[in-house]
Amino acid sequence: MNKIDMSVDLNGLVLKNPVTVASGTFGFGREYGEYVDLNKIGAIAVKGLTLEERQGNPTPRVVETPMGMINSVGLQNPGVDYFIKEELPNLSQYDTKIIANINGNTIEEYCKMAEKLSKTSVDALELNISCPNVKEGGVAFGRDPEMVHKVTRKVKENSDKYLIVKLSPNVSDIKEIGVSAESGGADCLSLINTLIGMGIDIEKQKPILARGIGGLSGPAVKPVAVRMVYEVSKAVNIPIIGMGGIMNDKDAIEFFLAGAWAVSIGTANFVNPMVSMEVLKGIEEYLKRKEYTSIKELVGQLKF
Amino acid sequence: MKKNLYCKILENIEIAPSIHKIEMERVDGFGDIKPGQFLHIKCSDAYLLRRPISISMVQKDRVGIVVRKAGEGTSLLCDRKKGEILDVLGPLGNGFTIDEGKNVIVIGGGIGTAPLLELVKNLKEKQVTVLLGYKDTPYLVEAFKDYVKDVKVATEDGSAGYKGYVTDLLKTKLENDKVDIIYSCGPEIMLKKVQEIATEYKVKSQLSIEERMACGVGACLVCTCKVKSEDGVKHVRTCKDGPVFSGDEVMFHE
Ligand SMILES: Cc1cc2nc3c(=O)[nH]c(=O)nc-3n(C[C@H](O)[C@H](O)[C@H](O)COP(=O)(O)OP(=O)(O)OC[C@H]3O[C@@H](n4cnc5c(N)ncnc54)[C@H](O)[C@@H]3O)c2cc1C
Ligand SMILES: Cc1cc2nc3c(=O)[nH]c(=O)nc-3n(C[C@H](O)[C@H](O)[C@H](O)COP(=O)(O)O)c2cc1C
Ligand code: FES
Repeated sequence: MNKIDMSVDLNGLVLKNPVTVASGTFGFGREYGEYVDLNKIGAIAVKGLTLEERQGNPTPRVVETPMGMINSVGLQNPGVDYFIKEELPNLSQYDTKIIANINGNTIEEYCKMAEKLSKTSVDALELNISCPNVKEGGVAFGRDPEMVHKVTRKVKENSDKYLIVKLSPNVSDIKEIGVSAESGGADCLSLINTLIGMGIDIEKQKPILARGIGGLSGPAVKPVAVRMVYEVSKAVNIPIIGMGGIMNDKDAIEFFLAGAWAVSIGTANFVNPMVSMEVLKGIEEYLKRKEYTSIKELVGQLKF
Repeated sequence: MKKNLYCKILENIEIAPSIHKIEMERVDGFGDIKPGQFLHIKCSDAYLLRRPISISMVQKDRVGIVVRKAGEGTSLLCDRKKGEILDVLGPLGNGFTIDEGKNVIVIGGGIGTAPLLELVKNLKEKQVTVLLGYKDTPYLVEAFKDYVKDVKVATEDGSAGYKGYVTDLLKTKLENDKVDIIYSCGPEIMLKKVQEIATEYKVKSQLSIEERMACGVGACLVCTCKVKSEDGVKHVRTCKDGPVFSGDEVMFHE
């Protein structure tokens, strides 16, 4: 039997396979590079970057909930300049696409970062307009369709990089937000970011996270994510990278059927550092069993 | 390349109420193990995240941990039976650094005594005093005595050894003897006190601290702690940059 074609062309960004790792869950590749061959991953979305270095929120920053976790890291990162100088050269050695996840407090900040990164070897920008763990910017942008349009358009004007807009699930109509990002000039959408959650210590009668609330991820969010990918894929004409609770190949296949062109793995890395490779292998086996010759044939094949 | 290790449980015994000593096969892949390093263990499929547990004993063919039933994850771990397979990442983190100084104090509190056992095994050439503190029932004391003559116990309820805090014993020792370095692991409130005393007596210290973790390998940044740096305060990762830090850099929670 012929080899299955696992490559995907996301309207300009070509990945050698559709399995990527999600921002904030893979650092800058160094740590998990000890466990997986980074050359085998379709793309790496790096830890969310901000213009200036950020120390993040106080600890505790994590609480486990039934089949999920809530984090309140708060975008701790060394800043975009440090990333370009100290981390990007290391990442660039690998045969994988690099997605720079960027976070601004204002549209100007997003644009400044986009400009800086335009002059580098990153393959794509991912606008995070959906981080629930910071006071300004973040999710406040992601909830307002007009703001989403505007920030997307401004960044597009200030950069010639491939542009992904990452959507927040913490909205009442995600289709509308997806459409706004598309009309602003996004080349691709990624969804979902974390759902806002909270965990309480009933003995102390206090929240467990120092900051009270945080972002819920992991298997618990998968049904929400699959639904949102399905809805948005019907509403837009640009490709979607689907994520949220993917723990294995079966979860990933659900996302492809729902309309995702590629998938991203986040929390599952924490549980099993080799999970991305196992998901990739599982998808290939499924395609073989179902007699597909390429991953593209699976996208949006949900029968309804 | 590193990978998950699948280790058969060789022994699981309750050595004190709610405290289990679990020994597992030292499969290929563990490599060298430094005292103070930890394992990230999948306690059961009922939970998503792994739990960090210090390595307490290393032998040629086995690795031992001592676990306190703190919540549901560690309770499920303690329920695992001999012959079952544990899914383990590790050894992770940096361990204790064996210092040049000859006169050493090793001071542990509660479950924090566990990693210090493997440490004292590696301090053979030194003059070592071990101070162990517990709320009530002591454990591992005899195991420490296999390596060190001078082992003192404190219990808060007075049921064994000195009645009171183990840090009182530390003060007495520093009053009377020359000490080059203090190694410590225990609850935060105790470590804070150890840090204070070490500063007061101008003695170096290495402290093994705890933070809630997710990945355990340095990728997610949920486990950060504050350390002093040239330009003020810095957030570093407990799992990768620690869990052992120099006592004069760690900044504990307010
Ligand atoms: C480096 C390191 C070494 C440790 N070594 C040991 C050891 O040798 N023996 C031992 O019994 N315990 C040790 N602990 C503490 C142990 O990890 C926690 O008691 C355990 O994670 C609690 O999990 P649980 O599900 O039983 O409790 P729950 O309270 O139900 O746990 C809920 C969540 O909080 C996290 N959590 C709770 N308490 C802690 C804590 N103190 N540290 C880190 N995460 C925590 C858990 O990982 C989990 O995600 C160590 C912790 C660290 C950081
Ligand atoms: C610890 C942690 C940190 C994260 N940091 C970021 C971030 O910096 N930028 C971002 O866009 N998303 C961030 N995310 C969201 C993930 O990229 C992903 O969208 C989400 O976790 C859902 O996928 P999962 O369930 O597979 O983890 C973070 C998630 C986690 C768990
Ligand atoms: S637990 Fe993920 S960085 Fe330490």
